[in-house]
Amino acid sequence: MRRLLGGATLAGLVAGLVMAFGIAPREATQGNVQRIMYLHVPSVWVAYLAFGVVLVASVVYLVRRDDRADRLAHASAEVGVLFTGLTIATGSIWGKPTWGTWWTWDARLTSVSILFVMYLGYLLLRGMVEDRERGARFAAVLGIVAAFNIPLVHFSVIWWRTLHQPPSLMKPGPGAMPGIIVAALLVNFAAFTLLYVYFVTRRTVVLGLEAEAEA
Amino acid sequence: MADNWSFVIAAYGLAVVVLAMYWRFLVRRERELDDAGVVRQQLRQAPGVSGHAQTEPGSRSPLP
Amino acid sequence: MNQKRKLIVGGIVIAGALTYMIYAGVTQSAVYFVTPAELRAAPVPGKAYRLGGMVVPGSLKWEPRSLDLSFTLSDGTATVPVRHKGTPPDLFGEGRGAVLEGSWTADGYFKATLIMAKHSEEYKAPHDQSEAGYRELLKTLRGEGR
Repeated sequence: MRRLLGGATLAGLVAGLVMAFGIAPREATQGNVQRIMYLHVPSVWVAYLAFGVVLVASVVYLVRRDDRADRLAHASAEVGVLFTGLTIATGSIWGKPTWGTWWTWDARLTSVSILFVMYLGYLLLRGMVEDRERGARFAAVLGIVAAFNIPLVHFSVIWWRTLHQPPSLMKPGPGAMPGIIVAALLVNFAAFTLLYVYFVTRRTVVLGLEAEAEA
Repeated sequence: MADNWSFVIAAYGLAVVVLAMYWRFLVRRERELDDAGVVRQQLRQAPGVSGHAQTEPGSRSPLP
Repeated sequence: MNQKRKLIVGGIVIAGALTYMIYAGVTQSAVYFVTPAELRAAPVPGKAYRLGGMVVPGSLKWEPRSLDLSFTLSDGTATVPVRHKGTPPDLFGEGRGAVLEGSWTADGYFKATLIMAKHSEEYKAPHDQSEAGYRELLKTLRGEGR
């Protein structure tokens, strides 16, 4: 089962790369540097998804006190932090040649940094409390509170003036992107989602083994 | 319009390195814990064989 | 115990970073930039601003040897003359959005120290020649959404 998931993920990632570099055209305004988007946007999607899962698993843990939900939240938060970091790094690398700066404190970049640091704090909190059950409870509360940042990050470009451009994909009306670019993005969305599932299942297993070893 | 291929390569290269490192961390940690689990189970099943604490390679918590 | 101390230090660092970012967020990102009309309404010479708008087509002058750059920035209502020394980013150009860091001078122009190109959310295949609407871009510049 895991083999299958791993294989599908790998195939998806390869297909994503082929779409990003082979099929999708050179974007007219930005040139080839736009291809970073096929990495940047799916990464932030995985981050949203991961923190959404943290939210749900945290609620489930608080209601049922099931350790498996706690481990899922922990694993998902870790993967989410990984992909948030990747989003910020790739965005910065793209920003230097296109915007002319690695970084600026606009609402999108500020809110995504807050998101990143909050979940980093979440992971740290898990290690800080000695009593495991109490730690899990605190983490669950933080996992729910921190989720309020997700819409803040996403809509920051609409609610405030920013350097970062607004979303293209969910724009109503005539498409802001040619179909082929949308297709390349969607393939990468799928591949990254598989990668997320693969990472989280493996991390959850490892966390389970760790708990067993401690018991 | 400059294409800035070096930036594209930097972004994708970074992603590959980070994701591969995380994957390797997961694989290693799991193997390590699996080995430790097997050792613990063996110790539990045959306590007479190893009466004293053994430090097996890969065993995370040697018996007290 | 040592491990715990490390975690506590990490916690303090994270809390500090969060506080700083929320502070930076409230003071800087809430009004990330002012528009030419807003600057024109109450210009303070010497004060640092972030100014956002569109580069008026036909206004751009670029001296590659001396790196002197001058253009007019517009938000559709008011315009501001801008001068800068240096190479602008790739995406900077006439009819495109830009956010500038700099200050208003007593001589009646905006002295930009940093030019950032604002990208629109439009992506185009090479053969697709339809220009992004000027009005649409102005809207995203003002952050009015759609």
